Amino acid sequence: MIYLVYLILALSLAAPLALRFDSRYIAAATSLVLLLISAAAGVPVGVVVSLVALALSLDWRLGPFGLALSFAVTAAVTAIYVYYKSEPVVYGLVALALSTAAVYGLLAMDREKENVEGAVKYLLFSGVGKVLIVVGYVLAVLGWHPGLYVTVLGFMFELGIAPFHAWVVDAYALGSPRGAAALVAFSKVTALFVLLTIFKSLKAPSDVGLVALIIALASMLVANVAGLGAKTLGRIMAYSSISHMSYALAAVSLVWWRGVSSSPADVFGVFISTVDLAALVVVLEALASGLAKAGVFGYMPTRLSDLLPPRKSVLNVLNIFSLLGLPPLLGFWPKLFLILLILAYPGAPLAAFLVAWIVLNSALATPYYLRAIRMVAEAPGRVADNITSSYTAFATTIVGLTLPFVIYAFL
Amino acid sequence: MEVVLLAIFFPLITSILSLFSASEKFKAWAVTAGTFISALIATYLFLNASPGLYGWDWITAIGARIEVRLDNFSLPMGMLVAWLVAAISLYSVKYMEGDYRPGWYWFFFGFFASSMLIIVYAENLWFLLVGWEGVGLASWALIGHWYRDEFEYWVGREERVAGVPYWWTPSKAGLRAILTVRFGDAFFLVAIALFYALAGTVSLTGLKASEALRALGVVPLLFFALGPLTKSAQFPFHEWLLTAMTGPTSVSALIHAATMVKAGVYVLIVTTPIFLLVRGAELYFLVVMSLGVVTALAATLIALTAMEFKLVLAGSTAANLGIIAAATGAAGLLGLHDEHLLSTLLFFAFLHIVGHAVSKASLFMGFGAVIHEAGTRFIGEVGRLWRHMKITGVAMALSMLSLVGIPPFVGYITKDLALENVFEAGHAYHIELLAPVLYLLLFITPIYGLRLLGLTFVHGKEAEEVHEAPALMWIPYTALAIATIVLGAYFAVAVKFPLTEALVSVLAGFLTGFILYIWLPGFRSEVLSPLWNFLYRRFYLPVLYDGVLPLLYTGFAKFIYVVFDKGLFDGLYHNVLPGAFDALSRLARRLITGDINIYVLYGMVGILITLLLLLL
Repeated sequence: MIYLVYLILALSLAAPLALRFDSRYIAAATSLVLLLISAAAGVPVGVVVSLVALALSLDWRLGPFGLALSFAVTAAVTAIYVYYKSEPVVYGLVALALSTAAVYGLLAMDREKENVEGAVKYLLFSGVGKVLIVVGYVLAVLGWHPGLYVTVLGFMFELGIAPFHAWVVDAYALGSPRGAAALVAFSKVTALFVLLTIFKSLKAPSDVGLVALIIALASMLVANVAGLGAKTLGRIMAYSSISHMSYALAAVSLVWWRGVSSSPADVFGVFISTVDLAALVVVLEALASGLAKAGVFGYMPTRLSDLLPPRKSVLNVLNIFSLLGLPPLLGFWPKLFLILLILAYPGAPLAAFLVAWIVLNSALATPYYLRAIRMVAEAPGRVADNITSSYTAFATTIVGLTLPFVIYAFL
Repeated sequence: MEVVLLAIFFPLITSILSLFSASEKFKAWAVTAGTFISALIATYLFLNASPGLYGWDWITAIGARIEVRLDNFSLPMGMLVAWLVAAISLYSVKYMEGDYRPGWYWFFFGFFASSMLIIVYAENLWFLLVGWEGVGLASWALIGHWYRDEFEYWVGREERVAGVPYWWTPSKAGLRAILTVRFGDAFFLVAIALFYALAGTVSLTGLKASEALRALGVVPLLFFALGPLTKSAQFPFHEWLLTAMTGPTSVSALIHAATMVKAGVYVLIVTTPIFLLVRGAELYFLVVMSLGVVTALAATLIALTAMEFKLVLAGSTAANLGIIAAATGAAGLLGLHDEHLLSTLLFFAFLHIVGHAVSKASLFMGFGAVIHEAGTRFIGEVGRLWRHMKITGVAMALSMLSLVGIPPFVGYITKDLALENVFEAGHAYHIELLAPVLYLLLFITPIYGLRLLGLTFVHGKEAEEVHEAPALMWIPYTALAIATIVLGAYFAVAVKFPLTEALVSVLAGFLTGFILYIWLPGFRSEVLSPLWNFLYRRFYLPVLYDGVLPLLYTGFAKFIYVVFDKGLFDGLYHNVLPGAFDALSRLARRLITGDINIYVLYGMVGILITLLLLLL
């Protein structure tokens, strides 16, 4: 943990350098350092996330905002590290704060009026969310029963769960595409891992879990229905993000509501407790959504994403298929595991309803993902795949292909 | 006894081999060699094989086994089929020379032969079904062989009756054939599945021993019968056989003499001992016998008035198949009272398969040569061929006399023995109408035979530039024509030479035919003209099959399309659901106004909603 603290300090001291030259080199160096730390600590998720930042920094001139990218990825890796190494939650909360400022900068980096508008909306709602998370957590730790409700509310703001989702659409569509990539790959990942850390450390009242579950289920429907008519890549990705975050929240809130099931879930012949399976859903959802959308936003050579892509991308077809949940790509597994999680609890009618809801929502999303595929595959310009889209497509495919073996071998 | 598999599959193996060469000669001789080897093996089996069952497991879950049965029916039938196929194959070498589709022809020829041999030897009904479907497919492929649909290969002239086209191109005829047999096959398949569900086996021996099968009832039996009845072109499913004449004549010979239609009546024969035990079997046998008699009479009348060489022969095939089916049904009816008689009576029915096949193969090949040489398929457009095609003329006369049942040819003996079953059943069951109908049938039969011979070889417009068929063509049909006498003599000695009152009808018919078409030709009658027209139009059944039924079917299909496909499903999936989701989507997207104040309001509303849910 101390190395991450040193790194944050070093980055803070390096701030003046960022104004002198393109600080993407700082971002690249930071990514490599984070990669080494993650590898040494045995946190593969950290390695995967670090490489996204490295790819983005190699692809794009970032000017002074390379430093913001460095902070964003450091925040994400810190949150991942805190979760996996069971460090105090407070580090995670610091990471959340760190990522907000960094991603705000990245969203506004192209200095268009729309960029700033998207970034401000992100800053405001994400800021409110973080305040609620911190306040609620403190109250919960102090023993005040509804504290965790406030925290969950904060996560709804932070993750953009409907009806707190309006800012997500504007931030994705109007913000700089590099900023949107950072938002989804680092900010959301940071938030989800902090959620997991709190999920593991505090036992929520079941009524809070039920409310969160109802909101999550409604949210995925709202997102998928709204996405059906979305006309630009940025907006499609925004609704997709709301939907994916809703799946993740649904997994956690289900366990909060129904407690730990006495019968573990059977995953490829490996028995996993419902708590661990819910956490696995969240991790995979964070990675699937983060990687694929980082690939899509990371190839856009435009100043905002509220438009049709001007150039083709072949590899992002894989990324979007992953978002769609096409097996064996990465995006398929969290949906499957969420269904297995539901089935691990007794009560067939409820399980049937929840499974049908999840499946129908996935099916409902298909048309807008296919539209997104047409947008990237039939764009008028030449193929513009870059390191980011290549890496993310590779990662979603390889992780998706090897996941069953990894679970079988290591769990 | 694995050698039986060689007899079955040799034609198929060589037909597959034929695909690997572009040479027409190679294809022809490879498949012909395959059919001759198959015939030799079938003869070896006939002479040496001990009766019994031989087989291997295939799909155990449904009781499917590749199992063959060597017995008194399969051994002679296998030999007959294999030799007829070989003779027709040899004939085809010359007949199909220069054809534009040799690869297609020779592949399906071998495929057809193997499929038929599977039916002949199969003990397990699933295995039999493989051959059954195989002959269906091959018949479609070969009837529609001349897919360019040239006029010379049609059946009928370009004329309409009640707005319905009264001509049939090869493609249309192929489709007619497969649609008809597939209709029957659907019921046939259901019946086999029912047998398996009830008895736990579909082997013929197993079914015969099954107690459970007794409770089956008559409906599954009738379902089963629809397969053979459509396959062997029994009334009212006989139309496809008549228009199947669009195929090459060698294919007509194959379908009519050795394969396909014979498969139907053969299966009726071999399953009769099984169905004898089933409750309600009497009705089943009665239906089979009645349909057989109706088919025989109707098809004979069609043959009498047909104006195309091959159509006369096709009508006569349907008539003889009717006789075999009637004899089988009658054997079943009589077997219900005296089970010991059954095998003898069925053997009589079976013998007529042999008697008819030998004559019919010869006739088809011979008249194929006539069409080939004279360049017309219509009776009356060419005549006096006796002067130019003496060998063919003699062969056709011999074969025709056998076909129409003149003693001492084989056709007389086998037909008379088969009809004895029917006469006996009519007597036993007091069906008074049966005997007059059969006498009428026997009377008309020689007339259409002599009409065809007289108008083709003796009288009519003399053709120019017509020559005897090449030796490679006339050898097979002349050999078979001679066989009609040899086999007649053999059956007379080995089985029985029947002398019944039926012979009077036959001879009366022969005399009438001789007077009308050989001695004093040119008889015309205005009074009989409407009747002639009715028969010439084949009872106007094509109006039903090609006009009314397709119209009803198209109407039904349009109804399904408009109401369900376009209305319900397209409407639901392409209009209602997308419209509803589009409206919902617009509503959900309208929430994103861009106004941050509104977003804050959403947040507050969201908090209130969660609080409300929490309090509830």
